[in-house]
Formats: sequence, C-alpha cells, structure tokens
Amino acid sequence: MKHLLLHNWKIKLVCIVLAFVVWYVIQQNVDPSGELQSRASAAEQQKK
Amino acid sequence: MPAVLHFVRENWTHAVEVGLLAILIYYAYLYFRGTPGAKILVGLALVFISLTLTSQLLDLHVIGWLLRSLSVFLALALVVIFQPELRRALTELGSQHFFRSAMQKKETIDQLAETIFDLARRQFGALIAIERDISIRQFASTGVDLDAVFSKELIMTIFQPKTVLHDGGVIVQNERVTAAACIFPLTSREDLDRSLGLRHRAGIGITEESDAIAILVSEETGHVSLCHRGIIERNLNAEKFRRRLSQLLLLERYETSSAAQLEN
Repeated sequence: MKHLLLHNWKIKLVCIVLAFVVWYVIQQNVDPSGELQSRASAAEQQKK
Repeated sequence: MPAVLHFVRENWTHAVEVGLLAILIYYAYLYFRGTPGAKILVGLALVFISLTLTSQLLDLHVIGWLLRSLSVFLALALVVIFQPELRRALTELGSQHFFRSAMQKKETIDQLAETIFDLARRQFGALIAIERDISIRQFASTGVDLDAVFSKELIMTIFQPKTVLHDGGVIVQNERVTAAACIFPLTSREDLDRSLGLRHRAGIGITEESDAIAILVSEETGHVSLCHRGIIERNLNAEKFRRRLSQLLLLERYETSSAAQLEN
C-alpha cells in the first residue's frame, strides 16, 4: 500500500491536480450554474 | 460534525470522479511517455487547459465557445495522432500478458537467467533491456522489429557473433522480444571504470533514461552485469543474478534499493 502511494508520488500528485482541473472545466461546461446539482439535492431533501 | 458529514454525502461522487480521472491520466501518462506523440499530447493538453482556465476566470465567452466547439475536433485529432498507440494499448488490454501472475514471471526469470549464463559460458556479448513502467519503445525503432515469444534459442541466435542482429541491444516488453539490434543512448558519466566498453555504457545509458533493467554479458570476459537506474552491478554469479532480477521485477523494490544494497 505504501509502495502504491509513494511510487512516482510527484507524478501522481500532478495527475490529481490535473484531474481536478479537467473535472472542474467539464463541470463548468456541463452545469455552469450548478443548477442540476442543487435541483438534485432539493429533491433529496423533499423525499426526506 | 453533521456539517462535515453532509458535505461528504453531497460531494463524494465528485471525489470519485476526480479520482477516476486522476487514475486515467496517470496510466495514460505512463503509457504514452517516451512515444513520439507524447510531446504533442503534453503541448495540446497545456494549451487547452490554460486557455480554458483563462476563459473561465476572465469570463471570455468567445474563447470559451471556441474551445467547446473545438474540443470535439481535438478529440478526433488525438485518436488519429495516437492511432498506433491506442491500437497497441487495446491489444495489450485484451492479451493475457496483462494478467500474468508472479509465478509465470518467475518462470521467465529462470529462463532468462539460464539463457544469460549460457551466453556468458560461450562468451557471446549481449545487451538486453527489460521494460518496466516507462516505455522504451522509442529505442525499438532504432533496431529491427521482432515481436517474438521469448525463448533461449531466439536470444542465443540473436547474439551469435556472426549474425546480422548481434550488434546492439534486444528489447523485452511484456515478456516478448520486441526488437533487436537497437541503439541505446550511451551514458556520459566519467567516473566509470575505463575497462567498460560501449555495450556497458549503452546498458547504463538506457537505465538512466528509463526505469528499464539492462542485462549485459561481456564478450571479453563472459562476466554478467545488471544495470538499473544508472547503477551497474558487475560480475554476478547465477544465484545472485537470479535473486537481484527477481527483486527488481517481482518485488519492484528498485526505488528503495541503494547503491550500498546493490554491493551486498
């Protein structure tokens, strides 16, 4: 487990940062206002 | 505490998405590193990400629209540019090599050790590079493509001094002999023993540029050496060679191995 995490750790860290940037960009394009997400959580609240 | 739990419950899917993307990017990077198209990929990714971030931060609608429209063509262009690599990746994914067990690897190590010491006994000079995480296929293009199943007979034939392929190195990827007569980069280190010839310098050179393992047999003395991460272990006997190769290929402890450990 330690080896899995620490092997190439710098590259893995860059990949996580890059993944977050890509995810953020896609998220902004798919749902710019966060409307879908807020609608989903509102529906969940109503169910409760 | 409930606020934290609520936050985690609301956002765990995002964390999973980012995690999956990170894994995808990491393995794509490992796979494409060293290929001719890698620099194009990095350049395109940098331009695309920086332009997208700039347009988002500064609210540049036209640039944003342009990037969104171009992203489809960009995806198609990437498929065309990386067509050979993608085909190879899918082939490897479907092949049994991907799921090979440690036991099967152990058998290959035993076979390799037997071959190497047979070469040493006959004093056939040899240089074999075994690929690990970092691709060395750019060096395969300097030699002759083989893509053959690894066998003692094949290696003995390649390094037979009067054959056309005996000069240069052999590349082993996923337990297959992918190319022979390859030209590896020479190390520029000046602190090496002057008795080391070009074959040994090439063996050290390829391990400096990648995480590959280079196995060397000296034509003059028949001594067997092992290189990794720019470190050479010389005059190994069969038992020590097998043990070190198993450590490097099966246990993958090369990161923590120090020069001192190598001397033992």
